[in-house]
Amino acid sequence: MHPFLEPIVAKFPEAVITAEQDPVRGDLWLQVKADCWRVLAKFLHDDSRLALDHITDICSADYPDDQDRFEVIYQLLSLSHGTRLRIKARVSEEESEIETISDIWRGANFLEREVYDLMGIRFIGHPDLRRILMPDDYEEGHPLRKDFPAEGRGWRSRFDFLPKLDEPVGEWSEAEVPDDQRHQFMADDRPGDKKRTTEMLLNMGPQHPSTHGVLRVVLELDGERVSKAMPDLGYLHRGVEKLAEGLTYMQVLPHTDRLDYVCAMTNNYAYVRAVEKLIGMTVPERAEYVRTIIAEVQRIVGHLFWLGTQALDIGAMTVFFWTFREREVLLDLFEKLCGARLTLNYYRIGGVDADLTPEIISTLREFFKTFPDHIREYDTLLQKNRIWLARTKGVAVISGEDAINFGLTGPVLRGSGVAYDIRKLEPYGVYDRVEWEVPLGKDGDTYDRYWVRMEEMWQSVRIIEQCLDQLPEGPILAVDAQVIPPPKPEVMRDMQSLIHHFIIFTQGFKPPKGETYCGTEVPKGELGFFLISDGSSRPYRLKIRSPSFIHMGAFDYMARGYLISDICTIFGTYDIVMGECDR
Amino acid sequence: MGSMNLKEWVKTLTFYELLLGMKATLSHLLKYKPITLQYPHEKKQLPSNYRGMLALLRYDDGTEKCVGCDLCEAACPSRVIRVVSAEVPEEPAKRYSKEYYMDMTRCLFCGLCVKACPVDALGMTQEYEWAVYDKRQLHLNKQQLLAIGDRNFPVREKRLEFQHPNVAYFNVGFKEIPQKDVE
Repeated sequence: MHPFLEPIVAKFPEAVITAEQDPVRGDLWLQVKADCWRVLAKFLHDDSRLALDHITDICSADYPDDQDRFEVIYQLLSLSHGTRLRIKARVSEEESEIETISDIWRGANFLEREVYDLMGIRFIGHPDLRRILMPDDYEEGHPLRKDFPAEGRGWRSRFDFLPKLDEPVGEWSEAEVPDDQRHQFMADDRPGDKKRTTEMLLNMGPQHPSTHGVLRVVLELDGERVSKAMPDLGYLHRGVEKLAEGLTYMQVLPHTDRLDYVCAMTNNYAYVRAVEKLIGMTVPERAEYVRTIIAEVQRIVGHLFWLGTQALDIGAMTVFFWTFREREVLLDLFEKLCGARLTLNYYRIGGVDADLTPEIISTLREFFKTFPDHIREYDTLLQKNRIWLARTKGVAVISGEDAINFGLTGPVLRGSGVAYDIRKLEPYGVYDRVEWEVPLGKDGDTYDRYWVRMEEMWQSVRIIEQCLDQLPEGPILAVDAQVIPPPKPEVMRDMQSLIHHFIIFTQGFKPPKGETYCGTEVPKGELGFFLISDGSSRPYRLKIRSPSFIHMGAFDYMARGYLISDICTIFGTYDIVMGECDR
Repeated sequence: MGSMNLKEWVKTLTFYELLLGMKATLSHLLKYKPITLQYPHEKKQLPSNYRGMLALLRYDDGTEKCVGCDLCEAACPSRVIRVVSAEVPEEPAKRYSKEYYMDMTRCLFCGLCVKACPVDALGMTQEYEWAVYDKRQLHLNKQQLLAIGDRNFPVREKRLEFQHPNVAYFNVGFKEIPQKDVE
């Protein structure tokens, strides 16, 4: 048994059913009894030998044929030991209840709501167990259950609640609410009391320019101060996880572009890494270098986009135009590389789609000659600007401990001074072969997160320049006839290649039975893919751990006490993208 | 209070850092160099691997490349393509696509169908101006797709059996099988 698991089994011999390490992929996992889960969870969080203080993800799986139908899967991470642990608990269909852990890890609050919404497992003691991604009044069950149809009910015109395309627009029949019946969102003026005492509800979004998509937040206001913020997610929910259950592993790839459409490359990277971990594939060296270079270019693109929009939210409009000017150069480069600008679909299982040409490399080097000047230009506009400082310093402060407890990742966590970067903790690509540092903030306010992201751009430049110098020659795609389609010229000349080509495109490849979690550092934080394979060519369950969703879980905590105008700043500082948040 | 603080005070009172920012923006005004394109009048040069509108291709003698194998339909992640294949009337061992539909409203432009096609019968063009007033106009049939291919790919490939001596033995339907070079 792995030494990390020994104290758990010694302390809870009857609660732990199995404690194992995956022999191929190295994942540690425990199967526990659902009714002992809460006591065990407290121990896992508090005991210093384990110190599993970071909640990464909560996932659920449905096995309709088993006696205990549902499985709740927790992904925990110990930041001090650098170890991940997966805990699985089975619940039966009749009960479908498990105790909440949302008071031990506050980040579990949203994650448990998601499991309840999509799988219908109730969490005993959860403070606010409501649907989160589906509409509140959704009555047709829980979509991720296997008995829920994967197909929609057809063409748009068959939905009776949608307006028909070919029908004339009906007259609006309901009259407006008369003035005297209208609910007044106004505080009562009491005689002798100048202060207004009642609180006001303000509905912000879903159509609001600063919410970066369709996000709605209901704010409870005391004057102009926010006393409670209630995010209402799910306006962009497409059901990618359910969709993926009907697609082969290769077909899921274009759908990952649409998660965080600002940084599609890194989404591709996160997904192909998860699949490669599942099937145990190694990637050629040149492909690893190309992947790292492109992922870092994408990080610069993502951070430029973030800088422009955050400055625009706060009111500095010029920065937005300038960052988009640089972003354009890099998007043109992506276009030359893979033929698309935004939804790139460039990474492949086992390598990449196209090689870096000398032209692209010289464009990149040319870009890096002028890029430092451009960053200095943004700094003249922002770094010492008193308006920028007043709007970012001391706004949305979160301490390192709280940030870990909420499960935050990426620059939002590092702004609070926690050195958690998957590229350092579990190096992938060629991050362990180049020199770079993890920039850390001190105060955990918006300014520190701004500083961390600016420094990360410098570090990305460092990484890319070293990678370009070291770039070896060689193939860019692994050779594995069972998994990777053979090169096109061979398909019509070699019978065996043709057969493999047909099998891979019609049936897809079949990974071995198993499950794995793989997290990748994307510009927004940790994007994780949890895959369960039942040995067929389609994923049995695919769970996306999206950083934006988990950051929204800390929104209420971070927004309390600040002004309405700071709400836009907080959206900006998360670098939130709703395509990824709502999935 | 040292002299440093006095300097800071003067900077604060004169809005020094804001002036620096203003200087940066004003210098851009003077060195005005447009980087935007006046779109409908000017157009971008697109790379040759651009993933734009899909098209069906032909060989240089005008016959369709598509053999109706349905691989594109199987590979498509969003079920854009529908193929109805049939036998070529005079040549029973040879197949072609009798009907071919693409519902471009759902296309992701991922290029998997092009990757999947074993005879390179599908191509991605550099067309992107496909905004229409009625979504039904984006439901394309075989003739429309071939027309897109004709206007975008003027240079056509030779028939498969003339491209490489090895390919012919897959398709027994060819009437004249070119001989392999024997050394």
